[in-house]
Amino acid sequence: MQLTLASRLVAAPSVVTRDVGGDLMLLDLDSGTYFGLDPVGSEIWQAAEDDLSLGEMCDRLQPRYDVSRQQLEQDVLALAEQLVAQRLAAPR
Amino acid sequence: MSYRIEQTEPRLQAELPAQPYDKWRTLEGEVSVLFYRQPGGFRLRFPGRADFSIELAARTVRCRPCPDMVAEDLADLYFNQVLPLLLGHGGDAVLHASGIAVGGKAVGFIGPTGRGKSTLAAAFARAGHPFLTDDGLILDPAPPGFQVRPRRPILRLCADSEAALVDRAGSPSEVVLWKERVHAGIDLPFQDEPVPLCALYVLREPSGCDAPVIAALPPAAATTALMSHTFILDVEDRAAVAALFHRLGEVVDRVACFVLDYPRRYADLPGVVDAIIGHVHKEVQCS
Repeated sequence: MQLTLASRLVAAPSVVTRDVGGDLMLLDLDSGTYFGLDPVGSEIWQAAEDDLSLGEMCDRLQPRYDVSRQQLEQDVLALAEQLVAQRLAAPR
Repeated sequence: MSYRIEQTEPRLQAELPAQPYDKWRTLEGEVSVLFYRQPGGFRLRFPGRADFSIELAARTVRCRPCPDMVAEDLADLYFNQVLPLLLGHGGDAVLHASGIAVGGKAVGFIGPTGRGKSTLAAAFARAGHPFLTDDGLILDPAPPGFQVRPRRPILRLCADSEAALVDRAGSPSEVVLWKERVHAGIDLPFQDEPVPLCALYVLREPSGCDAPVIAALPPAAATTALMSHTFILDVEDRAAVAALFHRLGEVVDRVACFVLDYPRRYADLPGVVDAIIGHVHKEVQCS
């Protein structure tokens, strides 16, 4: 499924998270693998948990980062695609 | 947590009908432990050495050694492998790590069997810094951080480490299957009271460096390293694994974590000890 700015993500039920030193650690209990999200990635994960669409995530992030809207949207979409590819989250 | 230990008659290990749900390997790739489920608990098979059947409800561990095993080797298996797994199953955070005390604070060295944990612990003890354990390092919450629980006053060293580090007159040793068991003594002091943990060093694969190399371990990498060097009896118990993940996240939040490489020459060990102590004093704030 192609992700768009209208897409929303839901965390996989097998994933547990923990903030560690400012990074968000994800543990996938199905695969036993770990993932680390930097502070920006952590914010995107949090926004997904707040049920924001990818576009709404960009709205939330834009005022706080010195980056063009186009670049921000590309980055958010890229991370969302990684999360989906790793089965850490799924579009809904 | 207490378990009753029962030993049955030695017997060769028969093939088991079930497939193991987990297995551990040595650095050389040999299987060291096989984990099986059985009604009411688990069976741990140490190939060619012993089986330990764990009955959870009865809180009993039934040990069946292979014919050539001697009592002391069985005790080593129990105290260094089975008991840490049981403690981990009971909710303790138990790491594949040795521990020593420097100035009343604990430092842990994390790594797989054969990476040098016990040798480092012996080198520190030899330099007057008592050891807490040579493996199965138990972390107990002790606000605002964690403390290390002392375990056995015994180090198990490869023969060459034992020859290089131990004064046989000061600390009696015995030859065991593939390591020498060295008891604490005048030359190898043991720390018999818990001490606060101030730093963890993950022993990386030796690179052949000529001097100790120490680098901070980012929190995410530290959490992953701790998780992968933990005694977990049931890797399929999702609630237990998740709880451990959170516990070790707390450890990483409160304890400085580093990655360590050092020259693997016995003559360099005193310098390695000094370098680590210097690093602890300079870079680590022990609460």
